[in-house]
Amino acid sequence: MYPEWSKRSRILLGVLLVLSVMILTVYFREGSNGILHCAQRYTVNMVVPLQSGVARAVAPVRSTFRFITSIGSLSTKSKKLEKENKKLKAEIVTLEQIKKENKRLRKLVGFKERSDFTTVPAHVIGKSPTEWQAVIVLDKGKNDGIKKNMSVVVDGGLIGQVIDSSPKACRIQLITDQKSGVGVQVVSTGETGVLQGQISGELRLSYISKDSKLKKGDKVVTSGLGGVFPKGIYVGTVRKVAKRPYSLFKEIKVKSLVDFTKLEEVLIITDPLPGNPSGLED
Amino acid sequence: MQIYLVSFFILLASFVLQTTVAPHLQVFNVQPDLILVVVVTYAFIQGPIAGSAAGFVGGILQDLVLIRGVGLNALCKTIMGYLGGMMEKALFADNVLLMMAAIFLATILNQLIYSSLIFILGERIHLWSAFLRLILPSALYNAVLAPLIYHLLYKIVVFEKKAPVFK
Repeated sequence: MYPEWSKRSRILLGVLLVLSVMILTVYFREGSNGILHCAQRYTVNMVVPLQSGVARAVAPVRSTFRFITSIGSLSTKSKKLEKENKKLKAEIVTLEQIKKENKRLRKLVGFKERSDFTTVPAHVIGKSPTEWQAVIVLDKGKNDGIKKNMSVVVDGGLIGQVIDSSPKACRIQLITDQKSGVGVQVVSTGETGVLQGQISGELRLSYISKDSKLKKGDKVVTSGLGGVFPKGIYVGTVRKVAKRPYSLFKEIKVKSLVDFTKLEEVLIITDPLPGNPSGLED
Repeated sequence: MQIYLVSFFILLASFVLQTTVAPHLQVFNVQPDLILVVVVTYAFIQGPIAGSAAGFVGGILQDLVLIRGVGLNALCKTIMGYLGGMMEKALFADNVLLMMAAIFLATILNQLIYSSLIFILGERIHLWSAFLRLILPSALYNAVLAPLIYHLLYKIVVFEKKAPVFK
């Protein structure tokens, strides 16, 4: 015979499990304006000032810690940067010539020149409270013109997109999140695929044919397909290419230049997408 | 009535710490799951009924700041609260290492249930990679924090109920 409390505890367990499944079902069936989605937004809004305060408080400690841990590698890094600087100077000269030529040819064929993106700078004030999702919180929101689906970049390339925006903050789903999918193009071959995040923080490029000629080191940029990310934003470099038996596609890993664990300042692209101005939601 | 209020505030405090402080305590890309540790250690002290209720409330609070779906963590942590409560006065009380082992296993089980649920919901999970990079380190991290959290909880909750003391 089980004691009375044991029976009651099992009944409560059953009730709470059924309730959890019901809540989960409602969450997936309701729209983004449903009660649970609204509750999520309100909770995030309430937490944002606290996250911001803590982020500000720990910033000096983090910077000091980073400085101390990087002292050992500074000399090697400096030599590497000097070498890279010389190489880049030479590349700039070549690129300037190409830019001039490009401008002239665009004029000839009547193409409109692509303007630079309009961006809003923002600070990272919160990070995901679990490793199962790659999400950050920024200190800019609807009051600053930030809308859902806007792209977010740093100097190392694309990092993600706005998934919801409140008056003073917004949440960004990073491209390393498992549920993230970015339409991309391999610059050297012109092939398009989908870049997906993984739990390990790596990026996997899917839907590239097994006959593709792409190789390690090839650059990957956004393709503009799908109407979410503007075309031509640098995403990363092909790190590993492997053939899988019995598969129509290659197994490709892409490496981003961005260290997603150390994001502090980012830029939100506020331009409406060409051909899809309604892609940005309030 | 007082114990319910105290319990709720303990969960609320762990939720606030989880969303604000825990992300800054990352070690090897994992952060502690303070809500899980609080729920399970609380269940050790208070038993399966209070444990599963605390798991449900703590899980719902956690789900409200995540993007995967409200109810996922509630489901996992309700189970963990219940199982933690079943161990009340059983094996952990005499030995701090045994309690740490219990939290270690609770974290692994919680993460396995969670990953199974998100797999059912359509996400591709490389379980072995997730186990090595995420589940195992976070289980170790939580286990290390468990004695400290148990001590704090014991001091807060003990006025309502005599909790077992580990050596």
